[in-house]
Amino acid sequence: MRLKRNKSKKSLINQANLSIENIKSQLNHTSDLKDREIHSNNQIYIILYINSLVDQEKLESKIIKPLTKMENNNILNELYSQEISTARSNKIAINGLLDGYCLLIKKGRNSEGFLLKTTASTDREVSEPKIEKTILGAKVGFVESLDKNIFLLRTVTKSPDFTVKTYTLGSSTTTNVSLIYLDHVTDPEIIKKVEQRIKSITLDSIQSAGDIQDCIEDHTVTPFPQLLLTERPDRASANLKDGSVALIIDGSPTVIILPATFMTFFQTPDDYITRWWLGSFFRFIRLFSYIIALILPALYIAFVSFHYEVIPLELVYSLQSSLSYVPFRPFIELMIMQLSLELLREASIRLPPSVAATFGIVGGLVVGTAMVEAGIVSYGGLIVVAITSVSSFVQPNLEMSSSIRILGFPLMLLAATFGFFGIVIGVLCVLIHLSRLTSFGVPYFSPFVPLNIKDFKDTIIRVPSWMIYKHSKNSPHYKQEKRSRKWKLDESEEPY
Amino acid sequence: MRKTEIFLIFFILPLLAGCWDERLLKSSRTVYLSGFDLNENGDYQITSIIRDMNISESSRGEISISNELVTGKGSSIKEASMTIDRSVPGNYDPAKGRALILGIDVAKGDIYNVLDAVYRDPRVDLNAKIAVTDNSANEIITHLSENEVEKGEYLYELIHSSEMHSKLQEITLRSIRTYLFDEGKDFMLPYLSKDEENNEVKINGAALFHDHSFTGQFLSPDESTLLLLFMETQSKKAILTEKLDKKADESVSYNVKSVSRKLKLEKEEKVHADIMLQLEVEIVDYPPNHLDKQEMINFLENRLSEILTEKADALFKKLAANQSDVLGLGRELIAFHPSIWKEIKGANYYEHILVNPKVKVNVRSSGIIL
Repeated sequence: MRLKRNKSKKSLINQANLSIENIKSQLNHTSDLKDREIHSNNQIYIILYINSLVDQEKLESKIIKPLTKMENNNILNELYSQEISTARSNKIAINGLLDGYCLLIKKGRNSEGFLLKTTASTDREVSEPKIEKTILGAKVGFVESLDKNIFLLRTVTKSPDFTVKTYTLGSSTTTNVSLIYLDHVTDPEIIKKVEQRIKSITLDSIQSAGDIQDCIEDHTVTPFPQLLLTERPDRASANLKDGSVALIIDGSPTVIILPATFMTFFQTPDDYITRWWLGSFFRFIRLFSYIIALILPALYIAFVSFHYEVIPLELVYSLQSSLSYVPFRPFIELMIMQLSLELLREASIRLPPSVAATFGIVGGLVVGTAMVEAGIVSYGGLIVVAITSVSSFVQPNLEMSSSIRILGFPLMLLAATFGFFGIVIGVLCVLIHLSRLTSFGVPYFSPFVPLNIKDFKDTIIRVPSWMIYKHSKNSPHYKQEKRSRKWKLDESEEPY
Repeated sequence: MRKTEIFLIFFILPLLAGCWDERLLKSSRTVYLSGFDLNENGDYQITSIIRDMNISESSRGEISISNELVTGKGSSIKEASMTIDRSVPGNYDPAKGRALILGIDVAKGDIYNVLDAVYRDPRVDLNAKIAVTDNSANEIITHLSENEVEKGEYLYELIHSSEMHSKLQEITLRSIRTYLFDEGKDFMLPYLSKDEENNEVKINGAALFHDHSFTGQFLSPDESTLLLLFMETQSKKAILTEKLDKKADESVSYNVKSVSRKLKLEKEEKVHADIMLQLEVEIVDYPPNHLDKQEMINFLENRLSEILTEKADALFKKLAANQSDVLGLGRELIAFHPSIWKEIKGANYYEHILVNPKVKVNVRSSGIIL
C-alpha cells in the first residue's frame, strides 16, 4: 500500500510543468505552506512559501514590496533577492521550498517559476568549543549550519585550492554534506575513495556525523576511531593543510577529518602554538598516559594476584593490610570500581552544570572513601582506578579515550587469568590489530608500522615548524630552515 | 569458519591446562626474615618473622606493625617449612625474605643442605643476603622481632652498609652458589652476634668458610677490608686507620682509591705465591698535617707500607691456618698453572701454598686540605 503511494508520488514529481495544486498535494497540504496572489502591472503573480522556513521580513521587503511597485515585467531585474533560479519541475520546486526558498510563479499560459532565496537564518552565534578546550588556541567552534561552517573553515584556510563539493544524501529526508580539501596537497586517490564511499550511502536519513562515519570507515570491528571528529576550525584547517579531507554535515557541529592515523588523535592545536619543547613534552605525556590508562589496572591485578615479589617490601605490607579486608578477588574489586566510575561519568554528562559540582564531591570523594572504609575496595585499587581515569581524561580526543575504556576490561580479565603473561598477550594482540588497520588506504599505525622515522617529527615529538617538511604534489620537498630562518645567517654576517 | 575454529581452539587450550598459579597477595603471609638451625637430633628448625600491618578502623590511616614469630621443625628444610605453613593462616611465603641467617650448627656443617631447598623455590629472592651467627639463629631473630619492629629491612641494610664500606665481601644468595661449587675458591659471610651491653645485633666481622662449612674463625672488619683489597674487590669506600707510633698517640686514616695487584706463583718445595699490592690512598684524617712536604709524604708511605705488610702476613697466616682460600689462589692455579694444580689438588690444597704478601702505599692525595 505504502509502496504504491510512493510510486504515484514519484510520477507526479517528474511531471515537467509546474502546478500549484500538485505541489500542495505533494507537501500533503501542510498548513504552514502559504500562498499569496499579487496583482502588479496587469499580471498575477503567485508566491508560494513555507511559512516556518522563510524570513518574513526578507520576504516582505525584498520580494513582495518590489513586486507590487514593479513598472515593467522583467522580474529578474527588479527583485532584490541574492539568489534566483528557475524551477522547471515540481521536484526542483519542492526541494527549493524545503530549503527555505519562496517560489514565484507568473500566472499565464506557460507558467514559469522562480526560486528566490528568503531563507531564515536561525544560526546560533559562533562560540567557544565545549569539548576540545585549548589554552591558547582560537576561541571559535563549528556551529550547526553548513554555510557558516564552510565560512569558518575558509577564513582560516585562505587558498584558491580550497575546494568544496556538496552532496545531498538521504532518500526520505535529505541532508547536505560538503567535501572539502585543498587541491594541491591532497592525494587524489583519497579524494576519489571518499567520493566513491559517500556516493554509495543510501541511508533513509542522515542525522549526525556518526551515520556517515559508520558508512565510510574502513573497519567497523575495532575500538579505534579511524576518522577524526572535531569541533575546532583551526584543527580542521591544520589537517586540511596536511593533506586531509574534511566532511561537513549540515546541522552538525562536528566535522569529520579523514584519513586519520593513530597519532592524529594525540595532536592538539596547543602543541603548535606553544614552543616546540613544551609541545613535544605534552605529546609525550599524552602518549604515556594512554599507555598507563590502558594497562595500569591490568598491571595492578597481575601484581597483587600473581607476582607480588616484584613490589618493594614496604609497599607489599601496606597493600596487603588494606587488601586483607576486601572479600573479593582483585579483578572483581577493580571491576566494581571501574563500573561505578563509568556510572559517575555517564551521570555527570546528563547533569546541569550547577548540580555537577555537588555531584562530583558526593560521587567521587564520599563514595570512594566510603567504599574503602566499608571494605569493598582497597586503597591500592582506588588509587589505580583514580590514576587510570585521570590518564584517560588527558586524551584530547573523546573517541580515543573511549577506546581505552573498551580495551581495558579484556586486558584486566587476561591479567586476572594469566598474570603478566596475559598482559603481554593482550598488548601484543592490540599492537597486531593496530598494525593491520588502515584509514582510507593509509596505514593506521604509521609512522611506527610501517616504520618511517622522518614522520616522527610531527608525531611523538613536535619539531619546530621550520623543520617540518612539506609534502605536496606540486612543490618538491624543501627545507624551511634555509628560508624561514635565513635571517640568522644574515645577522651573523653583520659586522659588530 | 575455519578462522573461528582456530581462534576457539587457541582460546580454550590455555584454559584446559588446568593449572592456575594464582597467588593472592591478601592470602599470603609474607616472610621478612628467616633463620635456620640444626638441633642435636639432626632436625632442622626454621624461625621466621611474618610481618603484619594493620590499618586501624577507628582512627583512620593509623598504621600499626606487628611481627609474628613462627618456628617449625622437620628433618628437612622443606618439612620444617611445611610445619610452619600448617601453623599459620594463609600461605607461608618466603619470597620476600631479604636476609637468611644460618645458626652456628648449620654453618659448621654443610650449608648447602639448607640452601638446596631455597634454590628449588623459583620465587625466592636471589639477591637476599646470608649471614652466620655465633649462636642459634632463633635467638637473633627473636631478638630482632622484639626490638626492631619499626625498621624496614634492618638486617639487610646492616649488611649492605658494611659491604659499601668494604668491610664485607659482597655475597648474595645467587653469588654464593658459584663459590660453593668452585674447588679453587672460598668465601666469607657476615658474622652476627648479639651485643649484650647495648642489647642489639651487630656484625662482628667476616666468618671464614672452607669448602661448604664454617671454619669457626672470623676476620675482624679491618682484616676483612685488607683481604678485599688483596682481592681487588673493594667498594668505593675503603677507609682504614693505622697507629703510626705505639707510644705517641698518632694515627692516620686513609681511603684507598685504587689498587693494583701483581701475583706471582712459583712451584718450589711448596707453591710460593708472591703478592705485590700497590695502594693509591687519600689521607682523610691526619691531625699533624704538613702533607705539603715531600718528606712527610715519604714518611707516611714507608710507615704505612711496613704496617700493612706486617698485617697482611698475619692475615694470610690466619687464612692458612683455616685453609680458607678466600683470595682464590686455587682458581688462579687452575687457570694459569694447571700443571702445578694437578700436583696439589684436593680438598686441602691450601696447605701447599705459601703466601708472601708485600704492600706498597702511595699517597696520592691529601684530601681537600693540605
